[in-house]
Amino acid sequence: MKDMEFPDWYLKEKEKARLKLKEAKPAKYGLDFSLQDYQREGKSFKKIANLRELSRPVQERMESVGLSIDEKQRSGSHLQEDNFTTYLKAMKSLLPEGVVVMDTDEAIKTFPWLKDYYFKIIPKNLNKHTAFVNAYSQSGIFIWIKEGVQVEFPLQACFYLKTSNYVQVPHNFIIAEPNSRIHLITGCVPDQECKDSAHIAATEILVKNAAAVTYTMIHNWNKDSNVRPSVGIRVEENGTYLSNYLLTSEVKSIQMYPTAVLARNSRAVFNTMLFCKGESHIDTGAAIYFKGEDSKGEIKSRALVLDNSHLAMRGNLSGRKKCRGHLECRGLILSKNAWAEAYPNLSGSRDAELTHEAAIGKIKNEELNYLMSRGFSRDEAVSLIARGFINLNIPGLPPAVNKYIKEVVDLTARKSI
Amino acid sequence: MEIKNLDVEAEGKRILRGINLKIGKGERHVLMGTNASGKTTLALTIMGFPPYRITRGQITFGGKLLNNLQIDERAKLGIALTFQSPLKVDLNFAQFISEIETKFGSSLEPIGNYTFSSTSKRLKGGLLRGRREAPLCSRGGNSPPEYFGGRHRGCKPPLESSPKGERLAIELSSWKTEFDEEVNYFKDRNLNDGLSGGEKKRSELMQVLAMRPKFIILDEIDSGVDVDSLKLIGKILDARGESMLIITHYRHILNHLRVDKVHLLGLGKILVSGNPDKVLDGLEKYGHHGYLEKLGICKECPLKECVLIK
Repeated sequence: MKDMEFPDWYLKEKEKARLKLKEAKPAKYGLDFSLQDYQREGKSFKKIANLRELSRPVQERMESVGLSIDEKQRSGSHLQEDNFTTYLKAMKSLLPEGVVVMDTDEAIKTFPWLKDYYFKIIPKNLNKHTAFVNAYSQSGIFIWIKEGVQVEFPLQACFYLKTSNYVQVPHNFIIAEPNSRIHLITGCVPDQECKDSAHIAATEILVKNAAAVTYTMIHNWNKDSNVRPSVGIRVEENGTYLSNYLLTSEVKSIQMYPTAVLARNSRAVFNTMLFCKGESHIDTGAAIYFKGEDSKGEIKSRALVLDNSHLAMRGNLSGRKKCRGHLECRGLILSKNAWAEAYPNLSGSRDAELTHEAAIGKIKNEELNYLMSRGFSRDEAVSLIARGFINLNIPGLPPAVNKYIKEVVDLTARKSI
Repeated sequence: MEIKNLDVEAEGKRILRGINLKIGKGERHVLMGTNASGKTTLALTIMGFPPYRITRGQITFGGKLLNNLQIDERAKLGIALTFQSPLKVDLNFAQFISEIETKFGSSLEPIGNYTFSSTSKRLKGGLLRGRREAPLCSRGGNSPPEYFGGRHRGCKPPLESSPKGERLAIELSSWKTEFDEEVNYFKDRNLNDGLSGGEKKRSELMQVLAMRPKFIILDEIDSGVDVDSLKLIGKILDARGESMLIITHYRHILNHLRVDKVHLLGLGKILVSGNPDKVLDGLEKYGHHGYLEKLGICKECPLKECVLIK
């Protein structure tokens, strides 16, 4: 079969975006860095038929971000190595008809109507990162769940960085038609040999009437990775969006600020768990705009801040109509050189019921003493509190990831003493 | 547990003065006193909590001097404390119980002939509610349950003839089931997070029981607890063999729990020690000050600033 061509609108859009890229402004938050320093053209990778074909070290890296190599209890898998989709599989027995999972480039070639969704949720010129995705995106995952289709087991997608000094630029879409339901787990991880890489992504999520989308992102970077995933979500009436984000590793810098716009009686929840380690510079948060009456939202962030890391936690709830939202940012600082900042922001009219709590600090001696009175040493008490603090009991996380988290927390807690 | 000539201060203020207290193996002593008389200070001092500093005297447990031991070292010796106002900690309750059990190598075992009644399952809360009806042992009867410390703690008048003819419900055969049920009740909760006063006390008791301690200090375990729970807490404690120091303001819990001695603390000193019925009756009849005055203690008291007089 002859390869399909990109539609004209897309080629023109890319051309225009590349010409205008220099005008793009830096992101409002996070460290600025030059995208020109990274190569975009790399070698291509051959497609694989089974995740077991990957080398064991690669499999282990993927498992570290919660991906199942044997694809147990997964309705499908997607693997993008650098900027090439090398594996895409739907588990026919688990993925019902009416779910389309494709490489985004292929989806753009296949569905002309995708033009109406392209950078309609995230402003394409929001900052230089979104502009960069508009100009140079390659691949990404496209998921379209048709009306009334409910997917029981999660789909999994891996964004794997292989080449050093390289930038991965996926553009992802999740379009959930009315009354549909899906859970996507994405794991982002570079190869251990991969140096100075970047991941600049855009993910646009549309949750239509009474649909439900769960989006779980697990990141395990290298200490020299720069990461800028832009996520935009629109939730229509009675829809539900649940986001879980987990960062388990040191990273050079990461900035993300997923933003949800809620229609009447819809709901969005953002859970974030961060391990800020080494020299990491992390700027994360979320925003919810309550546009419809009776919409509800919650942003909950927990961070263990270690070593020489720098953390900024942001949250923004904004509502003009009758709505209810809560924002919680809490950072537990476990090293004397670590630094944390919290920026909770609420804005609303009289009918909006918006609350927040933000706390940054070390473990209280009273808590340590309480646990010590149950027979735990000081070190054990720190470890227990750190583990309990970071654990948001997020539903749907694979046991392997939970185990991984437990080990990481124990290790970091011990290290911090 | 032996406390000799104990003086304790905190932030430069002397709080306990010349405390002498000896609690033998399996004995249960009650500590009463007005607010701010030093009861909780004594509990926290025994446990080794800052900012309480021993300036004179000593505390020994099983012949071992506690004065310079860390909190966890004291806990590992078998001393446990249920807190009056336990702190909220971001730690899942069920996970914490599991950690305690791992540390102390114990999972609660069924206790001899005793089991909690399934009736308790109809009552919200499990372990600390419900009734017992199986006969407790009398000497020469059933062997004492191991989990109770292997002693005939329950050897007292047959239950049928106990006050109000209450029948201690139950075959206690599934203590563990009930324990698990109680853990289950709290399983999605964090320690003391969003719990009512009574729930906090139940949570405290569960933690302490999981430690399999030898000596339990119960700091107002009865405050904020509903009548049914109070009764069962009393009965559970009564069926156990650990030494106890029970800090309370009221005698209600003592209706369900046989105790050996009552001490009255005032201004950091033990002012009265004696037979439980006698002291409790005296307190009930005359109040703290009236009772002390009747005993002639107030008149002899050298402390001119005595709050009891007010």
